Amino acid sequence: MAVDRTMLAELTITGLQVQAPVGVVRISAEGAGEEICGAALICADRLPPAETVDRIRTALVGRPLADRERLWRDLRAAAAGSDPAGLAGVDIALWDLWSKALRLPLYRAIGGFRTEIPACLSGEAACDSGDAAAEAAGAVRDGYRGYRVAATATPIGAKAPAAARNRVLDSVRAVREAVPEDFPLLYGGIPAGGHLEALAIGRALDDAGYTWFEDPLPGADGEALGRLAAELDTPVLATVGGPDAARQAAAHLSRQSSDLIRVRIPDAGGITEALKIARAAEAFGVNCEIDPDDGNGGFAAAGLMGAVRNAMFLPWTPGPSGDRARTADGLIRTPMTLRDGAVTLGEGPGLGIDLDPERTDHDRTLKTKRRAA
Amino acid sequence: MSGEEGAALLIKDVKLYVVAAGERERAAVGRGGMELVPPGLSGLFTHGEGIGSDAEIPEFREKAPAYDLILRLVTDGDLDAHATFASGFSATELAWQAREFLVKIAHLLTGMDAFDRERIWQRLWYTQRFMYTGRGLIQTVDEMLWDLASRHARLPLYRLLGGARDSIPAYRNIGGRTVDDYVADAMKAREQGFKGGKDHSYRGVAGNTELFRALREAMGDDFILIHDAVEHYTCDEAIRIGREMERLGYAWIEEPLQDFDLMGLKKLCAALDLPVMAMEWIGSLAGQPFNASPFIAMQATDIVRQRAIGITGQMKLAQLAETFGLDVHGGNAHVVLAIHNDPLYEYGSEGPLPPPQDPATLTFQGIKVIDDGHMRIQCGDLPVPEPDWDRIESEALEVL
Repeated sequence: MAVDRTMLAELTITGLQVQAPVGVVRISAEGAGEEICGAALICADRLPPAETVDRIRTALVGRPLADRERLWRDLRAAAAGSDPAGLAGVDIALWDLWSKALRLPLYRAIGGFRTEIPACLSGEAACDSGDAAAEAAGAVRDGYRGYRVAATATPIGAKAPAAARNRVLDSVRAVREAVPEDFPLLYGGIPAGGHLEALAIGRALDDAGYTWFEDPLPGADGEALGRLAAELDTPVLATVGGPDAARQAAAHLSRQSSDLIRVRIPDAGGITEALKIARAAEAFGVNCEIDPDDGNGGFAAAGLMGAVRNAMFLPWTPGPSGDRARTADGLIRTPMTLRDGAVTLGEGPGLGIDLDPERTDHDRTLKTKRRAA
Repeated sequence: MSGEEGAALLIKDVKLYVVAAGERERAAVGRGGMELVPPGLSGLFTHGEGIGSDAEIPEFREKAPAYDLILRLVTDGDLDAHATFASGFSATELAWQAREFLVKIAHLLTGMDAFDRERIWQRLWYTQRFMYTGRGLIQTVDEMLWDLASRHARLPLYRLLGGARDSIPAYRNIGGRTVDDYVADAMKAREQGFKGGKDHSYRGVAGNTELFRALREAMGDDFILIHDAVEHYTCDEAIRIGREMERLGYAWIEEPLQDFDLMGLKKLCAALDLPVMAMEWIGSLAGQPFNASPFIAMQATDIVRQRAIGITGQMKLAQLAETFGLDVHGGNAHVVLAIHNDPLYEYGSEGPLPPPQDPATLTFQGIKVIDDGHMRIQCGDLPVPEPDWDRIESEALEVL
């Protein structure tokens, strides 16, 4: 792994493996007789089909690692029509490889902004379940910098009983009453519902001083979302994703149809695209929150946030049901940890993902690659 | 997290050196004065050089002893960041600038990691406002840090930034006092290999229509023509000349109205098929990438003139435009090659460039060259020589 940096200009990509079923992406590069590897994870149920992997491999192998914008353009073309999570896995592994080649952590390879990333507890209890207030109080006790309350699934539209509506709105206030008045509270999206339901919840969030309201309406309906964003004091957040994630963000920014943008790295096709969206949002004075739901134990999201000013919270889901599940799988030996409600980014090169060689079977994949070569 | 140690370069000290730089020429040049745009009905002014004025305005030129102020960020590693922070003809004035830097800025840098460029850029951004530093400070410090990163990686900057391409077609600025001068200069530009030419002609709609027709007729259809109007039209005039340019197959109209006229630019962009480029002036004053966002959101520019601050700022602006599916144009040549969304290189904006050199004489950072009508960064294998700090320190007029 020790790379003489004099060979950086000659580093050529030599191989790509996407290992099913665990979802490990490995990319190797060689220069001056030395080999380095970058790796990332893709959620097992979003692995690209073999023919897409072959197209991506053809686009990568033999190419100089340094020319990342060129690679990115060709990768996008090679992965067109498939789940962006596959492209994202390759892009993340390339960033891991690139920052290892530079001997810098990801955030410093881009340009470091911070090493401490504030985390908010991503709650499991639905807002009106009766458990959310206790969960919020627990978040304060455990030192989290914020609490994200899961949206209710209870319909509160015109046809819903008044009791249900009151219970939901009361629960928004109850969560606030369970925490200090300046403790950031975030409200998860309404899974289904229309403008009037979103407005009713949004007004309760206004009164209770929530920090944001996630995806209250479908992002595709910028007109309706923009109306809500203009009506509410609570900032409205819209998640963008898919091959046109950047243009979705552009539309929200120019129409002011949301007050914040959120990017999920796997849905946007990787770190490269997420970073560009974050930069565009920054120029508009808008935050671009980075969702850690990236199958990489939070390392890609936290590392990117280390290079970005305009993102507030790394949502944190403790336990086996969250993103840390990859740790529970045993793929990542050293999980990301919180200290005082924040992640402290490592100083080591790359993303800092410590893959278990037993589980991810590095040697076998390398042999497969050499046979293929 | 990985236990392996990454490279870190902590800035542990800031030093400034006032050094003698030999004799340099300084000039006071009037550029033809300020005159009404022909035929004079709009009441707008432009400089006489752009309308072929023959007004006699005196010039002053002289050679005088010059001085440089060298800024050095001393790190705990084997590489330091350094740049010429300021130049001038008074050593005491430069020494005073050094003292101001030490008091206002140096303590913002010491203790930072030299790879934490984003934090330093963001912090210095606000010194523009709170310490009235102007854009030059961020630009110099940011470029120093990118230069350091390029030397750390032993890569030319454009590849460190993303390496979208190795060369880009170039056009050259063309000029002259008469239509015939312009045509002759465009011919010469094509003989030199350039793919196109850009005028800075402020003759108004009638005068420029005549010029553009002559240029297109003389140059044929495969020579790129661009018009830089530098704010000398009203919106109605810009629409009329824009229509003529559409018929003649021009590539774009540059800075047609005052950059402050957001509403006029929006109207113009909607009216014309011809791409409109704005933001050179307002972008130079300050503010990019942040003040580009309303222009983009209001569709008041089709191409964004690249005047963002520092390498970090220029990448931000390029990525902002890319997110909206727009091109940028201009700025640092390394940034231009690191991105896909700048169509052409403007030769002349950074001074003359040499033809390709013997690669054995070049460092890995490379130099900008003009090669068969393309700009590229030609690189060699030589290491970048580090300054001899002992000698600089001993020869400096003042060390701060």
